[in-house]
Amino acid sequence: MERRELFKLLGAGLVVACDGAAQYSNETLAPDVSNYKPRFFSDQEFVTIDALTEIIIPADGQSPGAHAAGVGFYIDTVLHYADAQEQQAWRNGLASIEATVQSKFGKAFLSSSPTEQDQLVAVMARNERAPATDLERFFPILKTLTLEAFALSKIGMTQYLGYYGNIAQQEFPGCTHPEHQTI
Amino acid sequence: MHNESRVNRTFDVCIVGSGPGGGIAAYALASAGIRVALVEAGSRLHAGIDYNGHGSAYAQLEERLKAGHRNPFPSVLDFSERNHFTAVGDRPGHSLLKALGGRSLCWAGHSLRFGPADFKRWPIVYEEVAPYYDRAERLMGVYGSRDGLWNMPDGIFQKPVRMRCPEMLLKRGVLRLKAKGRVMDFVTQRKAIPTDHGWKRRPTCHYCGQCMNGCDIDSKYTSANTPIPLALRTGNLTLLTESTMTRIVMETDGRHVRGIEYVRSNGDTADIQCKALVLACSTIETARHLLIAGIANASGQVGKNLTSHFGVDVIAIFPELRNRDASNDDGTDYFHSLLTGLYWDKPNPNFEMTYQVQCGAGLNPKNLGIRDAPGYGSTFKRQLRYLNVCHAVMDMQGPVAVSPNTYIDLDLERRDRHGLPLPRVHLKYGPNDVAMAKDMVATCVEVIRVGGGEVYSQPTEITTDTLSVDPNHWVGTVKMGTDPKHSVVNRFGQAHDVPNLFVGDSSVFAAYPEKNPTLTNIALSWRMSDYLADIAKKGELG
Repeated sequence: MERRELFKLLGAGLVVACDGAAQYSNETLAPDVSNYKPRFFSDQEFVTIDALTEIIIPADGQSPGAHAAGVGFYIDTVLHYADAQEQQAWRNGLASIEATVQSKFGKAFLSSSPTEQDQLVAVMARNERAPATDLERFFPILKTLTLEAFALSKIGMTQYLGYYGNIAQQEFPGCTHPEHQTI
Repeated sequence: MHNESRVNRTFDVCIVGSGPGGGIAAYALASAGIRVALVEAGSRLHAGIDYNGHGSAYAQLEERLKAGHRNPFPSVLDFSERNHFTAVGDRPGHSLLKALGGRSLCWAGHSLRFGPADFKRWPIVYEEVAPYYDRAERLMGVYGSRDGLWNMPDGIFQKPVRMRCPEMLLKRGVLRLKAKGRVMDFVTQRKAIPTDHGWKRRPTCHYCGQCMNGCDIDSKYTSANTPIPLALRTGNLTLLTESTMTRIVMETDGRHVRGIEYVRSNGDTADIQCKALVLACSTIETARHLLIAGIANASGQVGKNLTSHFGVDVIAIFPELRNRDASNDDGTDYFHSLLTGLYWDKPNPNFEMTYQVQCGAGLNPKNLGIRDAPGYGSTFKRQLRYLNVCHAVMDMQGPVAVSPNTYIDLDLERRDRHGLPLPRVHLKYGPNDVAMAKDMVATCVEVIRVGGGEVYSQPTEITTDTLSVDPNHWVGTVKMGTDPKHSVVNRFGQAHDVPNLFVGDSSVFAAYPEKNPTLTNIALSWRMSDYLADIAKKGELG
């Protein structure tokens, strides 16, 4: 059905369920990042980014986390097309992570334990408002794109935020709570 | 090669620019039986195809990035040109949207009548414009509530769109302050988006919240979806898209326009002869073309009197909303409400003029209001969701005080691809602007606290560095007035020095209130067109 016809029907008061595959959709085609072949990151870097984003937005009682939402796919794709400066910022960030893990724990990030990875992120995030080192400067960069990717994923939109918009409505309900209508 | 471009190149009126002002002029003139050419630099875009915010970010990402866009959703803003000017001073901006319909494609639709007090420093009064507001609102399809405010008169409205919970709590704050004698009002926004299901001209809104990315069903009024199609239907309009005016051609007397030259997308130059020329290229571009041509400027006022709206943001949190329903707050985009009526009756002793505050809320993941919650992990997740559920943004809008430091002139170093100098936009904030912004923040903070909320963020210190200008709201560079020594066009938008040159965009504004410019731009351009049509019918165009 053409969307225009759909709206004619909606205008005529008929209730039409929106097809999930149609243009009105919050669905995502995020691949399972476990089997994803990255283009900007190396395979090892991608696993690193996947682990870091999951620490920033973890699976918990609120919703699944960054890994399940496919955030790594989004970030890798954005960076694949990003300009050299943005790409370099991520290369530098990854380098500072490896350097920190080596000096702190004497091993590579991928050999570090979940506890050690948590400690690393705690160090990264300690000066969020006024980052001073390469490692600290990378945290807001990583977090900003992680949040963008998560908020735009199906899991982020629906299970985390509880957003059920991006649909056609006959009327806009707005606030009808009696307690909000009074002085 | 392109001989067809030599056929029938003579028109009664040539209009340059198809935005809000040019579109309505084309409709008004063509409907009056006048043969019109409308020249637009951009191409015709297709709603739902060239722009459409409804898809999945993940599904479209590759295609969008490959095409050079960072935003994963096709937006009309993909067609905006932001480098077509040189910025001087306090961070001016200028957004051009090169497409049929111009910036009416990306406007928010806010349609607020200027009131009687707002026309005080104009050569016309509210009552002269009111019939054109009526006509404009009928044609555009404007929703709003009848609030009875004396200096923002009610219009021809379709049914209003409700506010969301956080906006209702801001309203509560305003009502409590009013009960203590403060003068202000909190009302539903008024937008050129039809809400009455019986209305026939365009589809009724479906409340998806994508208005400013471009309405994909052409519900929101644009020049491209209403006046231009109606004008084409008269048979009197010739539409020339992808055609950029490169020169205004004058008669040998130097006092009359003979026509224009323009360049088509294939690089060919062509020309049009016309009995009258209407410029509606935008406040900055119209002044630029007049300066390049060196016409209509005996007053020396072309490019002067430039002003726009500036603002600062204050964000509120209402903790009592922490458990409110997961919701669909999309509506008609972010701002559903307006704090207004401030200092209309009694001016603030610390600054001239006044401001309004556009208020909005919502949980749309594409433009989450709050992204900067600190930390990470489950605590961050919980905090970020809480903040966004409970937040409302108060976005101030007040006019920059007109001064000799804010104007446009030509940049002889930077030229466009046709060799024409780009405009330089000079912006310099003054003490009036800073004093107004301080009062705005104080008012917003008071409304939030009295309404039961907390202030999440506000500018820590207001200086000229914390103000930001609206790059879409420029007015004033081709000021209207009765005295040819101090103004460029007369009370109808006709150039004092060049009687067959007319201006149909917001550059003619003689003074700027706090209210959004587009509805008044449309009303004035319609009024100008009626005046021009009268002259043409009397045979006085030569």
